[in-house]
Amino acid sequence: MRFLLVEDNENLAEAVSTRLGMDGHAIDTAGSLADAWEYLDYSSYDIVLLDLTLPDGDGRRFLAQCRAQGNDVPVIAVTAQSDVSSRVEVLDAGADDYISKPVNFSELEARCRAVLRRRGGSSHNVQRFADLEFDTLRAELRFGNEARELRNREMRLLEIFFSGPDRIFSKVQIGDRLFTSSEEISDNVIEVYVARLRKKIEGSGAQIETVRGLGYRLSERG
Amino acid sequence: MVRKPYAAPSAGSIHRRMVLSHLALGALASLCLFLAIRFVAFQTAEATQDNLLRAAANAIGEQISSSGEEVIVKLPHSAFAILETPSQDRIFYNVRLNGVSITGYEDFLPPEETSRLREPFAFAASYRGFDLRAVVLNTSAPVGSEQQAVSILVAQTQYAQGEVADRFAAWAILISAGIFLGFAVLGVLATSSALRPLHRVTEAVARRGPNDLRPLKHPTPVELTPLTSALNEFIRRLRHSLRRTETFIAEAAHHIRTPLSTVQTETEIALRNSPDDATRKVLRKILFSVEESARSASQLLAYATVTQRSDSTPLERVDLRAKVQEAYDALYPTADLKDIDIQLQTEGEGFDIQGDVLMIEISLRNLIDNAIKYSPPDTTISLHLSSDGDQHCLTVRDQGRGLGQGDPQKLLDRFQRGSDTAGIVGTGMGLAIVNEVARSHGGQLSLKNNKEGGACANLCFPNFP
Repeated sequence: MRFLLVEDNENLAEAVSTRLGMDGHAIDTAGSLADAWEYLDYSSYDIVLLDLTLPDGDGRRFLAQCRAQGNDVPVIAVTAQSDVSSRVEVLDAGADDYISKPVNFSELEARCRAVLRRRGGSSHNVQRFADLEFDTLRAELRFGNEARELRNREMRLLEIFFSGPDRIFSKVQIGDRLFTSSEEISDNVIEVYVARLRKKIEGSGAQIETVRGLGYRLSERG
Repeated sequence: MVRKPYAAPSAGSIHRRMVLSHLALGALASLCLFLAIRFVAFQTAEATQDNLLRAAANAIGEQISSSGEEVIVKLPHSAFAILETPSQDRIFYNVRLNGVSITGYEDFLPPEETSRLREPFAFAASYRGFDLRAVVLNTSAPVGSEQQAVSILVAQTQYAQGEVADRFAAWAILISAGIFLGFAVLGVLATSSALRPLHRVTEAVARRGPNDLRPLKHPTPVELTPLTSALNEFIRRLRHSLRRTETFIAEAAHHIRTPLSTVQTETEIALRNSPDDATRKVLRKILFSVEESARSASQLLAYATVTQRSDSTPLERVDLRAKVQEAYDALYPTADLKDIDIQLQTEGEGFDIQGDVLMIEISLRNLIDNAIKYSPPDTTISLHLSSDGDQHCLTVRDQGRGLGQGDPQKLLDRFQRGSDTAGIVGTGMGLAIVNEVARSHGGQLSLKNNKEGGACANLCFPNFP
């Protein structure tokens, strides 16, 4: 996904953009509302992540102005305020959703997906490998005449494999992306999810191979 | 929401004190008046009787004549007619010539010191057991060529006089009672008129909405000005401190969360880039602590917000069902991340309650968030909203580890966590917040373990028709 991050704290902006980049997203960072306007004029984004307190103004006003100008880019507000009244204001001003700091990136991704899904989605969310068609917004998998729904973690696991077909992903890499960092996980858990996903793609032209000692790989059935 | 007015301990009632002092004053005044009337009445009756006795004595005196050596005393009929009363008063008399009784009661004598008085003299006397009013008249009669001293003593019992005095006294009582009544009415009127401005100030303060912290501009009498000034100063300080608290809460959240975000994100990046197991373990611990701090910060601030707002926010009509739906929508992605399914079921309709929207939202989110937190992946949380007409209840059932041993209601206290919560980020504030909100809205939160495992929380708010 292509993000515009509007955040004035440089350290945080840099960290967030690195972190999102790790999951394969493209990020532009604007340190002020003025910068944000410029970015919005020249590029289009899947999601704008908008901090609410910026040096040159209030994010809510920016949002309202944006909507008034007919720009309906999906916006997720990133608030440091916990109280629900500011959240409600944000939604009223035209944000699609909000998430509070510190950002849980899995949750952020889930919310982005939910926002895009609500807005009707677009075809570029369908990815293909072998005869698999994977719609990441609907968490749907199609091959041949089959259509299968994926649960959240199955979908995210499949997303990891889709991000590098034929690449080997270690259990550690998978665990890092599949679970919230503070969750306790065991190797066994990943085996469980891999097994479930294998069941879901059973009968297709793709398979998840176990590469002994190294990890797993999505490959075409030979 | 239920708010009982706080009453300071009563130091008696001004109204009662003022009315009572008016009554006391009235009683004193009417007693004085009664005594005065009675005294005057008595004096008047006595003076009248004295005059009659004098007239009688004079009438006797005028009829004394002498022929040669003889003194003739004729008791005139008119003298006794004057003294006649309807009360059957008794009359005593004694006429003496040179100290020797000529006619009448011989042993009935005037006091010695009156013998030289030339004018008729009235005095109180006692004779044969009767209390009498008496008049003595010293005169003279010619006997031969000499003037001889004649003393005429006439006395009468005081029955008629007493009756007159009694009649007057009855009137006096009637008049006094009237005066007393007048004072009482005047007291009540004066008191309520004096206290009316005070009531007006009270009403003006009581009528205010919780957010109305403007100074009192009601015109008040001079005597109340110190009170209203003090009140206004207090309102000013309160407004100031409320605003400071609100700003502080927002600022604190911002200043805690932003750096925490950086730490968390950088740590996640380091975790991804680190293949070394020992380092990864440490990084995970850091992330766990960061999440815990962030959560504590939110919960403490939410708790502060909730307790601060419970006394200062206007209440409005809130559709509980819509709020539950919103909370469900907001938290669905969070649950989905853990492959937890949330099911919302509503039974009946009309879920209006009265309260503070923000607090109700906070409580619903906390309750559902809590269930998600303690639920293992691939389980179901069921939300069941129902109503029995009097109150609307949201029941949240999860398939987690349950509430452990011990009294589940204890978990409602601040910083109390269940016995079995190691490894799960938590502050022990979540349910305390929900409980605080429920309590301040006249509802309640109860917790129990499900028979088939997991926890069950029941949050109820009273119906607002």
